[in-house]
Amino acid sequence: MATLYIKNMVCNRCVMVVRQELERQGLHPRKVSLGEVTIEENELSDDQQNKLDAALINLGFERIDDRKARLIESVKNKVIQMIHHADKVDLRFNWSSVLSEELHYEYNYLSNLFSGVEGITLEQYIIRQKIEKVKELLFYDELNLSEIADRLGYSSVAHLSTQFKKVTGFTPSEMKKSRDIDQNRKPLDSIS
Amino acid sequence: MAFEILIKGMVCERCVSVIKEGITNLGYDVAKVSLGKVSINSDLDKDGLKQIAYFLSENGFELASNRYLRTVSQVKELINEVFSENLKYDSKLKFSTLLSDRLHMNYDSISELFTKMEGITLEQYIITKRLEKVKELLVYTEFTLTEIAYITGFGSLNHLSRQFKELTGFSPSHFKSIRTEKKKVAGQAANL
Repeated sequence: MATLYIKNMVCNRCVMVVRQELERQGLHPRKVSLGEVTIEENELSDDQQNKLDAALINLGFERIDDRKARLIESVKNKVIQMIHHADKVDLRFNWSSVLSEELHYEYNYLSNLFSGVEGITLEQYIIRQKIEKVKELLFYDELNLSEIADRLGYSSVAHLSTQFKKVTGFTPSEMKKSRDIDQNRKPLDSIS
Repeated sequence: MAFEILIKGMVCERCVSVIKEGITNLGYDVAKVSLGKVSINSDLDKDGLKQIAYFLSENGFELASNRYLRTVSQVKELINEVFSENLKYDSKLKFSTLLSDRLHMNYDSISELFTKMEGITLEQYIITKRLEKVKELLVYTEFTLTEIAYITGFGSLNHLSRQFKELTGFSPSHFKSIRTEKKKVAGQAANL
């Protein structure tokens, strides 16, 4: 059994697409989750690796070997999981303790590693992911702004609006009114 | 006619390609897919939309509240309201004005959309509703046919009789006598 680490996986379709690709190449995935794949095979030949890497890159993914790169990807996976695939972010949610508990590293270490490699701070990355979720919810036109603020753990609509304007240059209502989904939404794996 | 469908749960390029492939396989001419939105150049009806909703849920997406269906149900509600128990119909009422005023859309678009979604024209739908009201008044009230024609907005007795015959096969008076007879029989049966 071997574990592969894959960059840029953000949702269940990514899981599905990666699984399909592995099977298409004759490999036997046992478990596929965001960023991590376990296969029955014990190791891959150079040829298998090259074929797999080429296919993954074609799909917008990338296999990562480097330990630090893997750790950064795990941080991103966790952040995306909490913001985009959980029901609600609690107001008292504490990113530093959750991340350090789940990944078994001091938060300071994670945070320094992240900003050193990614060029933005981990705090800023979390904010941008949250704002991306706000955009998504705005365009669905189902929740009002205070419900969205609540859903993402903002203490007030004012706080959300200020942060939104800082990141996007627009107020939430300006962006909603524009109805311009094409221009305004970003793939989660391109957020940096 | 081009349609835009809003989709929940799209977050990355893999989602875009899964959606593009899936909707194309359902037989639609997909013009553009962005995060959260698909534009198609083909016609779309209620059944088609159901089929798309099914495909979406199979793949972990969700159809966002659909404004086409919303408009059609608003149209029906407004029409039903007019022909409701306390008939709000007055002889000056024009459905085209009522609908375009209340839905803030021009009547031609409303009518075109309705026909596409429902498979019958809006005019036909209104006539059906009008005739249902005529039947109700014929059987349960003592209004004369001329009065009923006036109340339900047919304008003339002649016009009413013609459309009634066209849609039910009966003349209004024949319909009334059959129903009265039936009520009598049912009443007798209950007395036995």
